[in-house]
Amino acid sequence: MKSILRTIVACVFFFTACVVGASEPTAEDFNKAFAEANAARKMAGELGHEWRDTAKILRKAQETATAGDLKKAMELVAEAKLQGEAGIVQAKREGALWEGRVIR
Amino acid sequence: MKKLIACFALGCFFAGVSTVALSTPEEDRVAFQNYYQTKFSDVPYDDFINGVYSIDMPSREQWQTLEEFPPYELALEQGETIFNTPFANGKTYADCFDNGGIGIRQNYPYFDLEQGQVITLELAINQCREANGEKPFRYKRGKIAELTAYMAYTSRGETINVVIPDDPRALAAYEMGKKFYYTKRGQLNFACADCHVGGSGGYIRTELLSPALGHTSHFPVYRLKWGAIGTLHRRFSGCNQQVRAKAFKAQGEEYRNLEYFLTYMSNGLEYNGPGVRK
Ligand code: HEC
Repeated sequence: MKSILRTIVACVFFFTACVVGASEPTAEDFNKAFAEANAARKMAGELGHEWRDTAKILRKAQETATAGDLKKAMELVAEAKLQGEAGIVQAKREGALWEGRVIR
Repeated sequence: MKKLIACFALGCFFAGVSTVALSTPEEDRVAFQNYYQTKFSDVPYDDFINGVYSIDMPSREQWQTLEEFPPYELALEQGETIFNTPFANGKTYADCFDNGGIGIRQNYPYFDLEQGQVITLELAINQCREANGEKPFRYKRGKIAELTAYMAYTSRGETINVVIPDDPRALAAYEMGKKFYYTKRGQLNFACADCHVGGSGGYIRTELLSPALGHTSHFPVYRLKWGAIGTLHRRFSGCNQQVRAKAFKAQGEEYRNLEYFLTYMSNGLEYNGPGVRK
C-alpha cells in the first residue's frame, strides 16, 4: 500500500515538472499573447466597454517581461485578455438588455 | 394563398415595428419624473435639485451650514475675473454669448443643427476661446469650472428646458445618451441607472445614493472630497471609474450626449449652480 502511494506521489511530481518545464514561456510567446490581449482591449474600447484597469495590467505585464519574469508576465497578460474579452461580451449582451431597464 | 402570405408578412412587419418603437423623449421624461416623485413622495418637486440632501435630512443641516459660507465663493470670484478679462485680441466672452453671457446657462446643452452635435456650455466656452485665438481650457477642473461657476451663478432660478429639435441627428444624440445611462459597464457591471434609479435612496458602502432627477442642475460643484470645484463631466468620469470602467473623454461625444439626455430628464426644474456636495 505504502509503495503504491509513493509511486503515485512520484508520478505527480514527475508530471508536474514536465508540464512546468514544457510551459516555460519564451519572449515570442509573450509578444504574441500581449498582442492578442491588447487587441481584445482595443476592441472592447471601440464598443465603449473597456475596463478601467486593463491598460494598466498590460503596462505592468510589459515591465515584468522586460525585467525577465516571463511567467508572471504571461499571467498578467492572460488577466488583461480576459478583461478585454469580457468587455466585448458585456457590450454585446447590453446591446439587447439596456432597453429593458428604461423607466416606463 | 399568396395574399395570405403577404398579409402575414405585413402583420409581422408591423408587429416588429411596434415592438421596437421607441418611447418619445417626452414620454421618457414624464415617466422618469413620476418615478422619483412616487418613490420620494415626501420630497417637494423643486427640492430634487439639491441632490442627496433632498432625501438625507441629517446631512442636509450640515450642508445648509456650509452654504452660509459656501466653499465655492472663491471660485466664483475667480470665475468673474476670468469672465471679464479680455482676450489678447481685445474681445471678451460677452462677445460670444447671448445677453453678454449673463444668465444664459439654461441655453445649454442644446443640439446645434449646423455643427450636428450637442453643444455644452464648456464646449461653447472653448469654441469662443479658439475663435479668438486663445488656447482651450482643460475640461474637468480649474479655470473652466471657475468660469462656468460664475456663469451658472448669474443664471440661478432659470428653468431647465432642453429642447430636442425635429431632426434625426438630435434624436439620435438623445437616444445615445439614454442608452449610455441604462447600459452596464466596467468590471463591476453597473449602469448609471443601477445606482441612481433602482439604487436611489439606498446605500452603497456608506454613501446614500441620490435620485437622478435634478442631477445636472447645480454644476459645476465644489466637492469636499475634491477640495475644489469641478465639472459635470469630471463627475461622470468618477462614476464610471468607481465601477472599474474606463472613463470617457470629458466633452467627448459620449458624455455630451449623456448630459443632453440627463438634463432633458430634469426639464421643469431650476438651475441652482454652483453647488456644494460631499
Ligand atoms: C456604483 C454606484 C454608482 C454608479 C454606477 C454611478 N454612480 Fe453616480 N454617484 C454615486 C455616488 C455614491 C454618488 C454620490 C452620492 C450621490 O449624490 O448619489 C454619485 C453622484 C453622482 C452625481 C452627482 C450628484 C450631485 O448631486 O452632485 C451625478 C451627476 C452622477 N452620480 C451621475 C452618474 C452617471 C451619469 C453615472 C453613469 C455613468 C453614474 N452616476 C453611475 C454612485 C454611482
